[in-house]
Amino acid sequence: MMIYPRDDERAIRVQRMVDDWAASGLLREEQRERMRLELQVDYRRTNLFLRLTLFLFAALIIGALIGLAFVVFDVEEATSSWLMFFAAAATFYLTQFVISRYRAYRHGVEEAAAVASIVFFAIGCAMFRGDFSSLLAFIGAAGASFIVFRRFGYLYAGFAAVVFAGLIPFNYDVFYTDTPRRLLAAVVLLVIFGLLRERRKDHDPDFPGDLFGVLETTAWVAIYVLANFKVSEWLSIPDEVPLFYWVSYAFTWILPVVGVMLAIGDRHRWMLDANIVMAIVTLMTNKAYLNGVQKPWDPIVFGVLMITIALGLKRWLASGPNGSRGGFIAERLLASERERLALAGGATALAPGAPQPHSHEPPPSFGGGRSGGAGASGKF
Amino acid sequence: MGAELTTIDRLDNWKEAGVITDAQHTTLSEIVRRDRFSLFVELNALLYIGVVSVVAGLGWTFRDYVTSLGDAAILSIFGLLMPVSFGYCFVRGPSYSNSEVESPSFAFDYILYFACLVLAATLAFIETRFEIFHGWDTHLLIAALVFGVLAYRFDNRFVLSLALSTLAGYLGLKLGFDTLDSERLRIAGFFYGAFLIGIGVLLKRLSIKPHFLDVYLQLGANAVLLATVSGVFDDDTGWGYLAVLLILSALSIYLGIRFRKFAFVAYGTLFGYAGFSIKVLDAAGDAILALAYFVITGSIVVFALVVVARTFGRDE
Repeated sequence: MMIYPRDDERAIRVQRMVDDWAASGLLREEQRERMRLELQVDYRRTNLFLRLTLFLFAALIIGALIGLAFVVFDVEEATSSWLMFFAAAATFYLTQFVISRYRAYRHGVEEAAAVASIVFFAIGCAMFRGDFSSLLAFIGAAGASFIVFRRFGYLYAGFAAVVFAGLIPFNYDVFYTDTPRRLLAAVVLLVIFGLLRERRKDHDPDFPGDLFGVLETTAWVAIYVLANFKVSEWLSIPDEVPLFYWVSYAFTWILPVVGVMLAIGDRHRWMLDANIVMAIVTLMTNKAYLNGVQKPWDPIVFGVLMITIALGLKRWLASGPNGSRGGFIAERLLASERERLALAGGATALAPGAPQPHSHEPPPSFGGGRSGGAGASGKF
Repeated sequence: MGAELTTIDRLDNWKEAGVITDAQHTTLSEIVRRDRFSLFVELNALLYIGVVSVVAGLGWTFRDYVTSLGDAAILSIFGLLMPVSFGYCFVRGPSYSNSEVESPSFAFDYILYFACLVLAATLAFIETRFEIFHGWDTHLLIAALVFGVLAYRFDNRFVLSLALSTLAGYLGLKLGFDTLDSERLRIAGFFYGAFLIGIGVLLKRLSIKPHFLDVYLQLGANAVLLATVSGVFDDDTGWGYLAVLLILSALSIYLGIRFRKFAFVAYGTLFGYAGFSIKVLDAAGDAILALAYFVITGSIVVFALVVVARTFGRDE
């Protein structure tokens, strides 16, 4: 059971919506004030940047404390597992204590303690049988992440639980080849996806439906990563089984299509965005799958395709009744959408397209340039 | 347990209490139920990816086929794309205003971005083939200035970012520890950041596109602090850099609190602590001392931040 009452979690989310509606001109300031009065919750919250900084420093303290315990008490290998379990229980209790005593809500410190409890528990499990066991580590990490998610509602803990659960089959010693590992992992993730989808639908569009929606998307993306050999070779080298290879190729196309259809039916933003990215990755890995040779003009074709889809979709949506097709519109509804774009615009200064360190040496021969940074990143 | 209120329940209650009108209730309910679902961000993202891919592809193609295509053909293509895209922006673009201006059309910002990238590619091609600038400095400076002017003319944050990153290229740096390993680059980074902060504040005071200030401050503060903290590693001048870093970190924290820009409180804390720790741990040389240092100083920082958060930073 979650430590924060569901009504409080919902009130916090509606507060954000009310602010967004007011910033979008859908509410007047006095309306916003009045609505927010009814949405008060008795928690200590803080700014995102302070939260992140508090998280980092709290994690640093907890890590240093456990390090001190190992060094000062000269902990032996046999007892280190139990020390980690004790640390996991202590940090979990600390999270509970900080929330109950100080009414903290996403304040950084209690989150660092919760994350530390997951890490300590996973390490404790890994060392439980003496030698290091990655299988036990992943089972422990998945289980602890799930408990932290269920108790405190931290989305990243739920995300970790899904990912760790998907990785468990890759650590089974009984599987010596990649194919059964991938198949079992896909089955595990598919079951998780189905369960989360049902749970999301029970609550949509309110809390905790939003959390389940993100985790459902995580499981779906993880299935895609497993299916697409070209983006998951780092995870496990695929077997040379032609049938499995071509089935996986088919799924790199099927999954984004099915995902987009599900997302449109459910109006599920996370699924929609994730499946658009998956479709783009499929296009990018298509030639590699077919053992084709990349041509220099491939990015042009790809770019023109993206632009055509964007402009075509925009025109099609705008030409519908009231500029809408089944409720989907191309125009901006909320101020938060514009803020996201502004943030992306500012962030492009630090994107990979930014220039490489500038050399005062004469440039080498004409050798291609990347976008951004006035082409200085390449060998133009 | 009582019935849990959904967002729609709350909207219904507010409508009944007269807090919102019928029309507002209908609009907001449609948004909450996702009966109206905007694809604005997704379509913008596709356009951005498309534009960047096309220009990258042009660069790749021209690199591989420069001998078969010839300079004239490549310059003709660039020469056709640039005036068409810039022409579109100047003809269709809104008139200049010091305040924020909405983009006149969905694709406008990306056509401008495309034009800028093509300009960059053209300048780079000319420099590589004909060496008319005799070095990359002039090319990068011209590009940075043109991008800067266009960013202000058309109120485009993407192009402003392009201008600032190109300027960083001109100064010979890219933000990152690995590239700030020499005194020259460090000083360049420091002055680059200081210049950005200065120009951003000046333009804000002149009320020229004041909404761009945050881009300048974020990049500028990180450049200055990163350049300074990299100097702390230096055996000869490290203590001097540390003194400057601590002053700048304190200033960043103070101004961050004063203007309620908590990102700068975080930057000041993190960079200041990192620089201080580098020197202290260098002198400590013992694992227990080092770990105890983290516990004690970390606790002090957490306590101070909690006080700041409780006093000033409650808003999300």
